[in-house]
Amino acid sequence: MEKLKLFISLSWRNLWRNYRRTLITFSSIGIGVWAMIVLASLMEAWAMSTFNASINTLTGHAQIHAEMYLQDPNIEYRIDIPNEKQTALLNSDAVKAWSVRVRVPAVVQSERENAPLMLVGINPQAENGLSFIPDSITKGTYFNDADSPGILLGTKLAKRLRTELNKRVVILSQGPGGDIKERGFRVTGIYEVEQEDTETQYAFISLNKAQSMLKIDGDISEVSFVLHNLDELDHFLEKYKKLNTLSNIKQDIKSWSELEPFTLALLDMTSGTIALLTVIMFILIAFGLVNTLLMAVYERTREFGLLQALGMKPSYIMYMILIESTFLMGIGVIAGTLISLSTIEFFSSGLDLGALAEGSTMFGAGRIMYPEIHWLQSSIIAMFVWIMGIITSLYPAWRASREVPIETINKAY
Amino acid sequence: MSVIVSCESLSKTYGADELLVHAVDAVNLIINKGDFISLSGPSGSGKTTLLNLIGGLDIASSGKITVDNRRVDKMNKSELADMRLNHIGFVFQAYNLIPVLSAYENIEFIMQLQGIPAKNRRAKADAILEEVGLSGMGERRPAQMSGGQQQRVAVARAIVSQPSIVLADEPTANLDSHTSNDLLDLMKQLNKEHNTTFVIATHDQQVIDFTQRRIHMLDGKIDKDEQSL
Repeated sequence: MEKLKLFISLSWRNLWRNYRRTLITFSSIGIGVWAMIVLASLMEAWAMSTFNASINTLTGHAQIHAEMYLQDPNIEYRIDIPNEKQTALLNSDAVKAWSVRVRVPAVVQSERENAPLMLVGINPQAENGLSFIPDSITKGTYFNDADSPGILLGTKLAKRLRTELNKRVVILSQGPGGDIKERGFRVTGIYEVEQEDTETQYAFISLNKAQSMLKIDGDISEVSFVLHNLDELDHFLEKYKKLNTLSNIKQDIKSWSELEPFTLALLDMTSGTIALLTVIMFILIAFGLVNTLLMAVYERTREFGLLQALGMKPSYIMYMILIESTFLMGIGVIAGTLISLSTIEFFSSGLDLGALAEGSTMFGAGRIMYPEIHWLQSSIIAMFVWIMGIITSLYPAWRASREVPIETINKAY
Repeated sequence: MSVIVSCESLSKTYGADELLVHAVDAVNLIINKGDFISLSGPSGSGKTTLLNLIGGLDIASSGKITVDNRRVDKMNKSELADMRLNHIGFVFQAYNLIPVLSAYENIEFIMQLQGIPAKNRRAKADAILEEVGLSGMGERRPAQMSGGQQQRVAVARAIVSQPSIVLADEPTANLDSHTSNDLLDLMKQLNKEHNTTFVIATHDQQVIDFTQRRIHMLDGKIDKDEQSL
């Protein structure tokens, strides 16, 4: 214990012998750690934005369809509304929101243009907290109930169709048996979202109007839901599948990761990229650290020889250099971590990507990022840099311990 | 009289073939407890090399060295470090204090390596600082002290562990004659009071005259070994 106190005291004081060099090293370690943690947080925010946009578009945490619907989203592949047991499960505490929808490919015709799209029949109240549509109406009004007349178009689609609020459009879609069904709708609302694709891809009508237009009685295309806790999804899906098996119902139940493989790949890629960046950044720091420690070792070879002459074992010299490196890395890492957490906290209310937003929305992310402090991730990055820094300093420490007393002491003469 | 150091046919060579240099050449030497010895000779005569071999700072090419009945020539690095810590004190020409430590801490350093508890260290360091005439200067760093003061701290550091022998290599070379005299008085006083053995390698006739046993080296061999009257 006495020796440890001595080594700590010596290491700490040695650190400040060349305070300018020490401060520069602290700064480079601190800036490196800051960059790593902030960048990791921004990438996480970007990935989460993409994930949320994907979930919020219409996917939810999971969807239930008729078998084959996902391969061919045809009106022929439809399901009954959830039965009593399924409804009870969907109404359980685990579920935040759920809804049934009719979703079929269609063509919309305005007075001047036409465009292909996905027609979605919705229960307006049930979409609250489930999808983007209730909060995205910028002109006109949202539906009051499942029987509301009218159609909701995206801003970009309305522009493409050269139509506007209160004008009429005609929807054509294939009904059961292959008949073409068509019906005119007045544009009662225009919605706007950050993703241009969504605005041109979806038009919304009320559920009952969709069912009556397509003559499918009470049938639906899908059930979509979100849970309070995404971690419970697998367990919930298992329960739903078990319920279906017991009732001999064959349905295709898919989680968001199966429905949106691109989003899943993006999230995986983000984790991989963060790990890669951490390693690259660490290598840059490591060069600086080894350089600093080697310089400090070469400058003090005579002193290491003296310490050995006075009775310090070579291993003690090694411990001393390692403690010095622990301080050097530790202060840099702690300072970098604290500054990065402050930076993230500062931008946590929203970081507007501005000019970069176009590129970002291309991948489904929003224009505004909401970076969050990820304690575990930040701790892992900080500890990784700290520990790897100490490991890196083993070489300078070993060099110092190899100094032969007589050779180094005589250098002074 | 007990024997502290014994060298038998001790040699140290550098280089090889035609360039072979015998820095120490088959030296036989006995140093007894309480000796106050000067080791003199011209440059290159081998006095510093002999001192380094006795102190375990250098490795002998052949021969046998015993310090306090321990075979120095058979020890590994770690054992040599332990022996230097507990049995040998060093005083160097360039003082060689640890620059980041105060005078008090430089003395305490040895005791810390020995694992002596803090309360005992403080009392011992205070007593030794007083003994070398530096009481009240314990908190000063080496850079804040004169050469003579630094060398006194080095002597204090060398004797604090009550070593069997103190090896001093040209301890007065960087000091003026007045300060040199003071330092020699101090070493002599420590020799008398604590019966500490001193071996001082030197060119300085003033130092040689001061010692009780005078060993003169020439070409790596002991040329003369005489006691003063």
